[in-house]
Amino acid sequence: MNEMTELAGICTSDLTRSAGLGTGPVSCEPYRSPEYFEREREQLFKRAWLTVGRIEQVPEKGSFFTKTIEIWNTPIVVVRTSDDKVQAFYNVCPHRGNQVVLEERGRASRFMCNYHNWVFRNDGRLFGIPDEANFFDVDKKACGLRPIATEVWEGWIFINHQAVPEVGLTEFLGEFGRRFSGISWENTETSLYFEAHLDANWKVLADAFSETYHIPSIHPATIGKTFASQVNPHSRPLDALFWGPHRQFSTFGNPEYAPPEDAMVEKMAYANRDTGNVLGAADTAGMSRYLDHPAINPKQSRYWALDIAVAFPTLHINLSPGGFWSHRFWPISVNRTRWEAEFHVPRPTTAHECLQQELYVARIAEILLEDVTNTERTQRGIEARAFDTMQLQDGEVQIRHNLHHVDRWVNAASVSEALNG
Amino acid sequence: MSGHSEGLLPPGFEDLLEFVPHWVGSTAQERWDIRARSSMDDIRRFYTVMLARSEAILAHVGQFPLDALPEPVLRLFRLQLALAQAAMAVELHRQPRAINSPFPHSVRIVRTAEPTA
Ligand code: FES
Ligand SMILES: [Fe+2]
Repeated sequence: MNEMTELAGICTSDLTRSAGLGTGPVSCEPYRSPEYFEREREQLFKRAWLTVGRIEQVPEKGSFFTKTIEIWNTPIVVVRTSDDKVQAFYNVCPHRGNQVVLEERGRASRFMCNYHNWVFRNDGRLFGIPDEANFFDVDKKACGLRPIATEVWEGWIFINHQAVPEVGLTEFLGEFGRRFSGISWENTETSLYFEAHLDANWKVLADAFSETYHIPSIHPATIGKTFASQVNPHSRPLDALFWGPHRQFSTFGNPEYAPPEDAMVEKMAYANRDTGNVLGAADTAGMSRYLDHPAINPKQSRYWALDIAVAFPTLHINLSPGGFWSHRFWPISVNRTRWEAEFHVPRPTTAHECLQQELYVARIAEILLEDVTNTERTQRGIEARAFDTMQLQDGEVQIRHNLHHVDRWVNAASVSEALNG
Repeated sequence: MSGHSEGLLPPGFEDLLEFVPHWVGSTAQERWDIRARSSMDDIRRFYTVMLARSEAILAHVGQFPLDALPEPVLRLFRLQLALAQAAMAVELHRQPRAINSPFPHSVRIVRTAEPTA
């Protein structure tokens, strides 16, 4: 069998046309136009459900964390209330607008604004006003923390800027949400957390984690050999599936990968490993329940490396044999983005496991560095206006799909039109 | 190293004292930064010596509970963890930092699951 025919048996072709997408060059404007960015802000980011974290960040009644949603210009606090409900609030005091909760995270039954000591219960209700007698009939019921629409799917906390969202989270996620529900998410309690601020449009960041075409060239030393092989030298994907604006992308892994002969530390650290994936920090034993889920490696391919499950617009969940991680992209301006990556790993219990994990952290940091710092060069190139379009190949179908749906949202009169239109 | 460095590392690991001033970082982010700022000669020397001592270090550290390592043992352990960073330069990039990546940059390892961090 020649190599092209063998590849055709491994990687599904014609992903772009099968998804009903065009095949022509795509416009650069959504990446560099301030007007387009403002429409994204209003029409997409203020109408779609956005992931702010996972429920493990609020493990007990009263647990909270704060965050700034740059694209809304809004500080928020996410709380597990005393009635055990996960709820986000504007972190804004109804008295005169100060931020109520200043800590990054913690646990409290009440919050006190430090400006004039107004006190709120952790479910947002106003508890007390110092020298209330000197006010003029304050409507205390209307002076609680202002809630933000909050829903949880599979442990992921989503918020929506609309006071009454046009579409609930279940309908928003649709078939994607059903397909990826019931996964036995592993190591949810502990994670490696990376962050960077990049001079690039949020879609340039998202695109950097949406195709494997770049892997042999950008990551030659770090993972070039794990995601490509002789039969698939350009790291074509195994498959891509689409449900409305959401999607799944299965990537190719080289089953023959072994650490190079002179990678002594890598060999020492993984001397006792029983996972087939060099990226995996965990062992395979506790992973089988998670890996048995039908949404993971849907083709049951022996060449499977990992699945990228994208909850449009900004949550990328990566499901690999060693566990899962996520990328979240927070637009700040047309050419500035805050990027977060969180890798869920077991807490190491021995010195040897610590070294293994340190090696894992070190390697991921190198890979991420290669990915995200490249985005600033890409953005500069796009803004140079040397070209008005970019060329996309079939393996870059996620980028085309994303652009298509972003455009639908920025133009749609309603959310249901954006979703079904 | 002179008398000052006595007790910095557990007895039996005096040969590694010369690395303490430069290579001990308390978080993965610090260790990443240290390696990125080091010369390839320094990285290679550290890597070669530490690789040969790793088994002994892991065995020594393994005698203590990870969340209560005595200071000299913790220091020794952090040297050991820095070997992971040195390996990136020696085994992958063959230069101190990733090819074509700027330095400094804004990528941060904000948090890890490392119990001694
Ligand atoms: S602004 Fe919060 S108490 Fe005055
Ligand atoms: Fe990459």
